[in-house]
Order: sequence, then structure tokens, then C-alpha cells
Amino acid sequence: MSATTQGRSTYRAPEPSREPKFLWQLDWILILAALGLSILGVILVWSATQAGDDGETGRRQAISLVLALVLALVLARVNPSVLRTWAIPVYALAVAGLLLTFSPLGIEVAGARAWIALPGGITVQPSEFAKLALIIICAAILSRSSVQGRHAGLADVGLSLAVGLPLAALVIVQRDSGSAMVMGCILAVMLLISGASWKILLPMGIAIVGAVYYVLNSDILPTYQVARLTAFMNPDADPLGAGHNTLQARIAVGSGGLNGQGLGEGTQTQGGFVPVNESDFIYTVAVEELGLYGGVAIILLLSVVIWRGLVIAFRTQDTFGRCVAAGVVGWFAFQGFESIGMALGITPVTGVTLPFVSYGGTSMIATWLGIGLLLAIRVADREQRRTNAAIPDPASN
Amino acid sequence: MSTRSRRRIVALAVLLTAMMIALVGRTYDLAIVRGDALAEAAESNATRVAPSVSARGLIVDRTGNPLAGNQGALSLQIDRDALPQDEVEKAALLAKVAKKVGVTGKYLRKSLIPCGTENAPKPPRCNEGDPAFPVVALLGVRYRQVHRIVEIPERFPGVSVVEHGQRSYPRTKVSMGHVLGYVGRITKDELADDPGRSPTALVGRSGLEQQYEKQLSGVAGVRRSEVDAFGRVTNRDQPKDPEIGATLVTSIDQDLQLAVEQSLASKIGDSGKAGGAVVMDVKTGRVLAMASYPTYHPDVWTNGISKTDYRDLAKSGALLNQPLQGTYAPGSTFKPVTALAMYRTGEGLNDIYACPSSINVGGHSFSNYGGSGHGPITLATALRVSCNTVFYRAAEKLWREGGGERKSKKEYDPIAKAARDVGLGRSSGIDLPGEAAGIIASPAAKYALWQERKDAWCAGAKSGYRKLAKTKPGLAADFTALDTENCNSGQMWRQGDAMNAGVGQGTTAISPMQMASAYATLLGDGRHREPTVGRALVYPNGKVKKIKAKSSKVVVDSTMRKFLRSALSGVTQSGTAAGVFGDFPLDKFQVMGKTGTAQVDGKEDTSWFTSAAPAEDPQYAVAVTVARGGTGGETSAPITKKIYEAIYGVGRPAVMPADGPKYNIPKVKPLINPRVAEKEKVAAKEKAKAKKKAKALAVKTEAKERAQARTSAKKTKAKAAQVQAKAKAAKARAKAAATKAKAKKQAAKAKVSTAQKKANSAQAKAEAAAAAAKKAARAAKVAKKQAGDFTKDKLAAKARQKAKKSKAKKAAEKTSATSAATLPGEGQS
Repeated sequence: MSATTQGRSTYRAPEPSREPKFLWQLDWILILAALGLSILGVILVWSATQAGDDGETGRRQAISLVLALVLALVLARVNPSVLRTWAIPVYALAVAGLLLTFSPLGIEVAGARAWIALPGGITVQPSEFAKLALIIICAAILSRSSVQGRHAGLADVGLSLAVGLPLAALVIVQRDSGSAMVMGCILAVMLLISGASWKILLPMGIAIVGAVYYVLNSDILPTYQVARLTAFMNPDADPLGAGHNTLQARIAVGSGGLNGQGLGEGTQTQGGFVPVNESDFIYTVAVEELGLYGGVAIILLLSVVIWRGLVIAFRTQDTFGRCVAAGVVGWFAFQGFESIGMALGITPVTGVTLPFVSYGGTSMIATWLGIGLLLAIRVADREQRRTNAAIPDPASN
Repeated sequence: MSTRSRRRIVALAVLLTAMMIALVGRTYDLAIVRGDALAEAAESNATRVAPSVSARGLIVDRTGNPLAGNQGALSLQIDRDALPQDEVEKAALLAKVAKKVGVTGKYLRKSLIPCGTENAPKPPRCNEGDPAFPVVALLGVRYRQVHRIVEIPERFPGVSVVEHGQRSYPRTKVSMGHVLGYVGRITKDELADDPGRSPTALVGRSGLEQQYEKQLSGVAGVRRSEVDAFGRVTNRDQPKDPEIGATLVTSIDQDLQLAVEQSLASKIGDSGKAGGAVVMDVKTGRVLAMASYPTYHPDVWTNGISKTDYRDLAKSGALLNQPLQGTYAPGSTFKPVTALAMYRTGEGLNDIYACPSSINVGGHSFSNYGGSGHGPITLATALRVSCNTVFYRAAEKLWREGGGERKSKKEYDPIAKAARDVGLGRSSGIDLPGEAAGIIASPAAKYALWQERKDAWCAGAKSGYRKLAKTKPGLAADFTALDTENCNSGQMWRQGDAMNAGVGQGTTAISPMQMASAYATLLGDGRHREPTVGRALVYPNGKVKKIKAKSSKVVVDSTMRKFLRSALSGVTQSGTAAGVFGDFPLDKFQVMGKTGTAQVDGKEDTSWFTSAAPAEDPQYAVAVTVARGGTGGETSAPITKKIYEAIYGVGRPAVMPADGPKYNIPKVKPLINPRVAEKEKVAAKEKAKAKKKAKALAVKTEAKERAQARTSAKKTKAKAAQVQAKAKAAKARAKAAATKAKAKKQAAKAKVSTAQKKANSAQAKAEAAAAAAKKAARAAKVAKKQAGDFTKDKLAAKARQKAKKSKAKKAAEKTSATSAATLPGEGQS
């Protein structure tokens, strides 16, 4: 780690200061773990698609990674207090982006109208950025009361739900229920970490769970969605219908063994038996071709990212920063769990990407911006601690 | 300020850790614990096994002429899954296709229904194949009928024209449908029993095709291919080519077969009678010809037979294989067997027997055919003139000796025993399916028959035929009396039964095949041989497996055989068949024979003539029978004479060689899979080419190499010598330095260091030399590789390289040793 930093230490921060250089303050464990995941992802995406396009998809994924890395490092330099002022414009942009998918610019892929086409053949999935927007605006709302040294109150919780749920609703209308579920998880984690009282959270949680249960058992949702949501529980019942994907995914994972069949050698992967295996089902490629080792490597690297995120959330003294970090952690953890889980047949097939690993430029950039947020919080917190140490402030604590 | 938040972060960490552990656990469960089962599923997911049909082996005659071969044909295939979904559209398409091939749309629609399901037509109209495969709706369509389907397939979704193999019968004149049998498409059940077979395989359904199915069908090839989720082939394994079936060489002589068929046909014509003829090699039991009349050409089965055609065929009696399945009372042709029984029980062959026109036994009159007596005659004469009364008497005597009227489940009857010994009334063991065993009238046979029928008889006796009694009271009374008699004592072996059995009447029923083998036994070497049609199987690799004919111990001794040969020669010379054989050159080809005219209740007599020739050393046995054919002399004997004329070339070219049939296996050109043949041809060519090239290259490189090796060896030697010399010099200098060292330590030290340096450089040089040698060796190796694999050369080169290497090594060692020797100088200092 230190070798890398030394190698790059020629970089000069624009503001010469007495503090340690910017790059020294970054969480390199976090960056390397995320980078490891991303590189593994590029390889797996290449393997899953090389038969059809001669490696083009893999190349594009690599380019996305470079771009995402640069953007994350840029974001890491932004002070959270500045970030906080962006909350409303970012939120507005996210809503606009989501609404654009219903315009003629919107594209439908695999049943979900979740993409917009930009000139130059670039497609963007606004729901990925909407997650970022959700995290920032809710963090801003939930940290309002901290100025008075209080935890988020009923008004804060209510307001964050009021801004968060419309985003989730828009995503559901796009028929991208997976992203909506992830948004719900992000919100839940943020509310939890915000320190809001159980007196607020518990009744609300019960109400939401009840509502979801009611929706699943009524005919509000289209049948395909209910079928997809429940098929994972018993894929063998309807092997050619809704359970097909789950069954094929399980077969792919099962044929990996300890060492895997080798990159480009997995019959399930190369034969296209598992659908969208460069994206939603990328984990099946990992296990089929790289075996248990490949699968465990992904889970471990993801765990490292989550651990570092939790550490940042734990250490930071800024409530806004903690909420943002918690939101990012919740995002990576639950989306990762959902994506891997659906490949393993233990979570519903909802079509979410595996952060850092799955194919998709938008997903790659959005998740790396999440890393950028974590880094920015860490950098700001370290700065704050130094300032606090230099000028003892009786007001704090 | 935020201990609450931090507590919650820790709790969240615990939850997330649990989630990640769950993911690892589940991955382990699927990939390792359940890995084998799932990997298997992946394999079956991704592999398709397509069996390919193997060419069926030929069936050839004694001299290698093909009797059944293969040819390509077109068939109309319909894939139900690819047909238009819309019923109206589908019906319109099928009607359009049907019109092209001359059937109705309904016919095609019906042919799609799997056999055994509701509304399915009867086989073979229904789909006998696996419902998962496309249906072969119509076999043998012509290209001009279906060319549109081939050319514009998109207008005929689900309909295709495919080529399939079918049986062809090059000898159109010979109609050996019964012997060859026919083939049919493999059924779903058969495919399930033997999944290795191709779903389009043809399976022998009767005759030789059925008997030798396993050998003729060969082994289906298999092509395994990997497919992706859309069924597209991603990777093909090296296909296992089908093994072509063995060629079955039969003992049938196609020319003789044709002659036999023509002889039967010309005599019976369209009189509506049915007959069968068998020509057997007496010496081996091999069947040279077997014909049935009426008959059909095996082609009728090729493209499936229509209902009406089948009905007509069945009605005409052509489906009955007369030589094997046509069992008739043998009449007088049985008398030699009775004579054998008489001889075995001590009757004198040269005694005089009375031949009255009739004898009265138990109130019944048993008379000669035509009712004429011959007075006292020899047994030979009795056979020649076919005197019944002599054999009636003899049979009656044996009956009395056997215990008179009796019921017996056990066989004790000298006549039945003699009959069985020579192969009558039991299945002959021929290598053809569906043979009728026939029956010999005997106490045991009668008892068995009674057991089988007594219930019906007793019921008839009880009922008294009341219905019939109203119209024909006399007949009803007769029937009732008969049934009562049969019910009460139908198991009794009576005098009359025994006497009838003695002249081949009564319940005795024999097939021509059995008769031919019996006469071959009686007139040949006295051993009964199982008749065989198959002689050998010639496998594509040239291996020949002979099919053996089993023979019994001697059952007819030489005295009896001699007696029979002379007695039965008399039949054609001056006996019952003398008229027929009047113009046959018996002096050259003495035919021994026996006419038979078996009376059948309410029907015309069954005509028999069984024979063998020539008398001095019997070669051929011929049995001919014509049901409702009248006397043996008027129908069967002339047919037999024609057969002998063909065999010996009387008034026509002979079909058989003068010295009898030979049994060396004819040279059968094995069928070759054209694809394999092409592959082998190309491979052989390439091999030859490569060999030639390699040889040329090897010669060149060898010369080059030798030169190279020589020069490099020289160089190494020279270098090594140089190094040695230098090392020696260094040593000397070092020594000199050492002696001086005592006086001038400092200077000596410096000198030693220079010596060391020099020694070092010497070593380095030696190393370089070794490296050069190695390099040369490696170059030689590369050249060798290019030259191709000639083990000898390779070994030689290796040896040479080794020698070179060891030389270089030695040189290096020497130098290092010498240079090392110089170093102790330092110690001295």
C-alpha cells in the first residue's frame, strides 16, 4: 500500500498546506478492495461476453472503470459541507433523469424501462444515480437536528421518507423492482444509523412491512413481478417458466466446484444458459469459472469495502457524513447481497447489479462515486480531528 | 453525542457479517456439497447426443450376389412443433403438401398421431416413432413431387424432405420375401430398450432380417455436441462413426431359387392352390433354395404397405411361408419312416409282405390308394408302388406290440420315435423365425390333443347340437355321438390311429423343410442336420464368422440307407413317379423319391413329392408339397423334376456346379461408410506425403547436422585446449607468485589476485565453450524436430548430443578443477 502511495506521491495538492498530502489521507484498503472487485468484474464480464463480441464489452467495462476511478478521486476532494449544499440540485436531477426514462429517450431492456439514450450511443441508468441522490438528500435531512445536538426526530424521518419514497416509486414504475428494494434498504439503514428513536422507527417499520405484505398478496403488482419474486423459493416447480433463470443459475454455481472450470470454459456461462450473466447474474460466472475461490474472493472483497465503510461511518463525528457513509454501506451491502443471493437462489430475482463487478457503465460510475463519498467523509473527518486537536474547543462534546 | 448511532453501526456490522457468511455458506453448499449433481445437470444441459444410423449389412447368396441391399430414398418428414399453430392454416398447409405427394390431407394429419393415443389410426399408419422426433409421414416420395418443399422451405413450415436409407432388392425376379423378411422403422419402445440406436434405424421384422438383426444392423454412430441455451452447436466432439452391419452370406443360390420359384409357379399358376418347395444340401443341411407359392416381392414392404394391399396379400395366402409354416399330412412320403421303424423293430427288409387291396380292422376297411392289390411283395416294392396295406399291417403290429389300445402321456411308439429321429414333427432348428413344429400322430400327441379339446368336446356332447337338430337332426346326432366318443375316450390311442399314422395320415402334419431334412437324413449319411440358411457373416473389417450347422449322431444305419436308396430309386424308375421321370436322364442323375397323396377331410388331396439325388452319393434333397394339389405324381413330382432339370442342366443350362455346391465364402466387398472411406483415403495420402517429405528432410538435415556436430566438436575441443593451456599458465604463475610471496607478501597477494582473476576468466571461457556446444546441440534438436519423427534418427541424435554435452562438461570441469587448484595459493600467502 505504501509502495503505491510513494509511487504516486509526486501528485501535488493544489493548495499547499501543512497537513499531510491528500493521497495519504485516502483509505487505501477501501480503494484497493473496490479496485480488486472492479478488475475481477472486468475479467468476468469479458469472459461472459467474449464469445459473442470478441471482448468489446470487456473493453468498455475497463474504460468505465478508469473513468469511474477518476470521478471518485475528484469527489473525494469535495468537502461534505459543500456536498450537503448540492443535495437539492442532485435530487432534482435524479427525479428528472428518472422521469426522462418515460420520455421518448427512454429505452426498455429486459422488461424494465430504466435506461435513457444519450447522443453518441451512450445509455445511462438514472436509477443508479438516484441512489446517490437519495443518500445525499436523506443524509442532509437526517443531520438537520444534529446542529442542536439531537438525533433525527419524527419530522426528519417523515421528510426523508417523503423525498425517498417518490424516487423508489418512480423506479417501481420503471419495472425495476430490484433498485426500489435497494433504495428501501438504503433508507432503512440511514434511518437506523441516524440515531432516530425506536419509538419512531419501530411502528414505521411494522407499517411498511405490513404494506409490502399486503401488496404482494393482492393483485396490485403485475403477475410477472409476483412470479419473479416468489420463484426463487422453489425454482424446480416451473423449470421453464419463472424458475428457469434461478435453476440455471444454481446449475452454473454448482458446476464450479472448488477451482472452477477456468475462464472462458464454463459451459453454463459460455452457452448462455444463465441470462444476463454479464450483469445481474455475474456471480454465477465467478463461481462457475473460478470456483468456490472466485466466489469467496468476491464476497471477501465486498466485505472489506463494507467494513471500511462502516469504520468511516463509525469514526466520523459529522452526522451528515455518518449518514452518507451508512447509506453507501447499506447500498453496497444489500445490493451485493441481493445480486449474489439471486444467483444462489436465496433472494428473489429482481435484476440488480453486483456493485463494482457487474457490467454497466452507469453502475460502475455510481458505485465508485459512492466510494468517492466515503473517501471525502474520511478526508474531511481527519481534517476536522486535526483542527480539533490544534484548537481545543470546549463547546464540542 | 452519538453513542446510539455507533451502537447501531456495530449492530449493523453484525447483521451484514451474518449476511456475507450466509452467502459464502450457500456458495459452498451449491459448488461443493451439491456440486456433482449440479455439474451433471450442466453437462446434460449443454450436450446433445445425436445417434447416426449405420448402414445395414447386405444379404447375399451362395456366390455373393446381393439379395438385399441398400439405397437412398426421399421421405416426407413433418415436425409437429414447427407447423403453423393456427389449425386452419395447418390444415391448409397439410392439404397442399398432401396434394403434391398424392395422398389426402387427412392421411397426413392422421399419420402425425402417435400410435396408441385416441383417434390414432392402426399401425403402420399411425406414428410409431418417438413423439419427440419429427414424424416420417410418407416414405419413398419422388423428387419431382416434393422439389418445391426443398426449394422454398419457408413456404412449408414444419415440412421437410429428408433422405433415408431403405432396403433394395437387386434381384427383382426372385421373390424371397419369406426368407429375407422385411425391415421396419424402429418403434418408440424398441428405442427405449436400446437407446444407443438411431431413431431412424431400420429393424428386421421377419425372416433373415429379424434372425440376424443384431449382426446386420451394425452399431449406430454417436455425435456428441455441446450446445448453448438456444440449441446452437458450440463445440462438436469427434463423432464416433457408425459401424456398418455385417454382410450375411446365405447358402441360397439365387439361380436355383429362381428355378424353384418358377417351377412352382408354372405348375400351380393361378389355380388358387398353395405350395412350397425346399432344396437342401444333403451333405451339410444347408438350404439352397426355399420357395413358397403364392408369394410376393419383398419390395411391397419398403415404403409401408397400404391397408388394402395388405388385405389382398393376406387373402391370397402369400403371407404363409409354405416351406416352414405350411404343415400338411405327409401321406405316403412318410412310409420310409415307417419302414425305418419296422427295420428297427426287427422286420426283415427283404421279407415278403402281403399287399391286399384292403384290410379290415375293427369293422373299418383300410385300403390302398386306388383300391388295387399287389399280392405278396418285398418291402422295397411296397415303397415303390406305395402299397398302403403293407404299412397299415406293420403299424397295427407295432401298435399291438406297444400294448394295444392305450392312453399314454409318454411317448412310446417306434414310428413316432423314428419320425422324430429324422427331424419330423419338431422344429428343425433352422435360422429363420416363425417355423411351425408340425405334429406326429402318436399316443402322447393324441393325449395332448384330448387334454386341449376335451372341454369343448364334452360341452358339445352335452348340448346335443340343439339348434342344428331342428334343421338337420341326422347331422346333429352324428356330431353329438362323435363329441361324446371324443369326450369319453378321445385320449385313447386306437388301432385305427396307429394304422393311419403308419401311412402318414391322421393328425400327422409336416412342413416341407422338415421333410427335406428327413430325406437328407434317410438317404444321406444317416445324421440329422439342422437346416441353415445363413452361412457366414462377413464383417466390414474382413472378419468372417461362419455359421455352423448342427448335426446329430447317426440315426439311420447304413443297411437301412442302402435299402432306402435302392427302393426309392425304383419309384422314379418304375414306381409311382416313373411316368413323370420317364424323360429324365435317370441313368446319369438317379433321383430317389417318394410320392405322397394325403387325404384331407372335405378337401382335395395334398400332393407331396420328396426326393434326393443322385442315388450313388446323394447331394440334393428336394421336398415339394402342393396343398389341394391332387396326387403326388401329378403335381409335386413334375415340379420336382423341373427342379432337378435346373440343378443338372437337363434341357437347359445347369444352375448348380456339376460337382455340387461349394462352401468357400465368396469374396464379399464389405460396405464402407463413404465418409470414413474418404477420411481414410485423405489420411493415407497425407501420411505418404509427410513420409516422403520427412525422409527427404531427414537425409538433408542429417548431413548438415553431422557437419555441424563435427565442426562444433572441433571448436569445443580447441577452446577447451586453449583454456587448459591458459589455466596451466595461470597455475605456473600462481606458483611462482607463491614462492615469491614469502619475501614480498604484498606483491604476491596482488599477483595471486591476478592469477585468480585469470583463472576465473579461464573458467568463464570454458563455460562459454560449453554454452556454445549446448547451443549447437539445441540447434540440431530444432532441426531434428522439423525433420519429423524418426525415432532412429532421434535416438542417434540424442546420443550424439549427449556425447557432445558430456564432452563440453568434461572440458568445463577440467578447467574449473585446474582453476580451483590455483586458489590454494592464497592460503599460502
